Amino acid sequence: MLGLGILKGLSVTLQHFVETYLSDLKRFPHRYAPQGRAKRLHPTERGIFTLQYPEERLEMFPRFRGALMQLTNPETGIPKCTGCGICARSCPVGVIEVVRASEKKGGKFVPESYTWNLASCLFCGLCVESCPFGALYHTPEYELSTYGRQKGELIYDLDRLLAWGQKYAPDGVPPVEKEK
Amino acid sequence: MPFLNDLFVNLSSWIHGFLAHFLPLWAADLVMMLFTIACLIAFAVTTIIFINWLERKVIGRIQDRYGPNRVGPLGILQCVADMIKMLTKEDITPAQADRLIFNLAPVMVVVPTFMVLAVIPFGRGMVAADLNVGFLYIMAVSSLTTIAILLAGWGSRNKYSLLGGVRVVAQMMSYEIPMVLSALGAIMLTGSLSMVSIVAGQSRVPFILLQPLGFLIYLTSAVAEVNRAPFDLPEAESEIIAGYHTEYSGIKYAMFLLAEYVNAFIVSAIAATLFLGGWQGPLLPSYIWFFLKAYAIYFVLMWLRGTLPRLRIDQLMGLAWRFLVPLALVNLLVMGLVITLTQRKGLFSLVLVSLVANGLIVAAVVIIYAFAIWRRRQVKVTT
Repeated sequence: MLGLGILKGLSVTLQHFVETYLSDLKRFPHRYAPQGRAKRLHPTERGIFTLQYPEERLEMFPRFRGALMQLTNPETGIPKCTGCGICARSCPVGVIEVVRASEKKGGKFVPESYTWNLASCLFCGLCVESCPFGALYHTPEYELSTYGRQKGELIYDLDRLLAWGQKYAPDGVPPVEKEK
Repeated sequence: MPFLNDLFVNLSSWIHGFLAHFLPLWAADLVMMLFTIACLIAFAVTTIIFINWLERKVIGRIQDRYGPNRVGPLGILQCVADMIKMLTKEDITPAQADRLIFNLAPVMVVVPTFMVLAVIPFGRGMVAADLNVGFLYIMAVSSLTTIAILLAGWGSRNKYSLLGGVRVVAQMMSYEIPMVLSALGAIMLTGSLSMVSIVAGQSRVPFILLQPLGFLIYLTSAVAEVNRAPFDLPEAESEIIAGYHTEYSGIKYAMFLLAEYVNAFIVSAIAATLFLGGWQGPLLPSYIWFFLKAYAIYFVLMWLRGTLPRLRIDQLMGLAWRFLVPLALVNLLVMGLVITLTQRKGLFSLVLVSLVANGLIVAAVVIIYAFAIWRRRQVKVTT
């Protein structure tokens, strides 16, 4: 009957309404937790399941194609990149510029400058796939917005890329390779 | 407690006395009247800010999310931010629109809303104007909204707006009938159209106990009357792109929004007055009881909105004409009989008989419904 269906629907929504308050009460002083969403997404958990973004963030999976990073050889402390420029040539939109240094360092070529222009990058990952030295990888970094494009915040130089490499692969092995 | 009980009444009489010191009496009365009107308008605007926030929170909770929680503590300032946004937005009038009608409609839709507030008793002695035809006044004035919305749809020169406006007329005209018929029960019990006497008539027992069926009919048609979900066909986003206010932006859109929310509050307030005993209640001051009851009914409206999907237009009209109107008529007839039969028989027998009568009506509806289903099955088998 029509009326019974309506009553059943009303009871379902009321249940959800009350359960959000009950689950809030259970967690009481801590409403948002850094890993709050993973906990809340558990099938047995009831209540609010939306991600409260600035307080809680999703952890990206290892193959996520975020910003680029340059790896450093942990033994010698020299960038793995040799400045060969294959990544620059494989890039369909030409956002990578490489200049190889005239002198070798530690018995291998090194880049003198390496810039990645985030503004036109389409995160296709061809540069990472084409790198023969395993020096270029994606980070799980995705909060890349800036307040303007005039100050060059969107142009990433070698130092910034190496810093991310230190952050996400301090032992010279990125998360993607560990997954294999 | 007596101080809190009559706080606003005392305040108003004190201001009136203060003014009477250096103004002639008629001028003091006039100033007081204007003051009351200003208070009511301020009340309406504050109410929409609160109700809008409350509704978004409740709907959010129903859908397992928090709702607004960024602007201010618990997101309570969200509506202030929204209002600032709306007031500073560009005010666009479509080139092809009928300028006069297009600009007049938002004003016309707000004015009846404020006018209805005048006869609602917010507490003991807290009514701006105790008209002896109070309920009639409410029905007459709130019907003016229909014309304003039709004008908005017509003046926009937009097919979808016009469709929305036409739907409003069809819907409001259909649902006004069961609304009035169900409210007539409360009026018959009191023998007066004045809202104040209707509240006074419920000093011993609220009318919801005497006519639960009338209350349900009133609530259903009231939801349809203020175009709220699940009866929000005139402003269906997915079908006719927000209907009559498609072309409105900025402050004019804010006017429609204001009228919509205040109207929803007003029908809850009228339901609380007619069926829940208005401001009557123990211990707490009268105005607090009134708002508790009104917000309880408003919660039901929000709950319905969070639960039910939108009806089709034929289902909407069918519900009004094939179900609610006959049911309201039968309810009215039975209530009339009950009131006549139990005259001078005491309150207890009145409550008992009317509850039994309501039960009988529901039972009859169920039997007729079951019979209809049975007949349909029979037909299906034979063909």
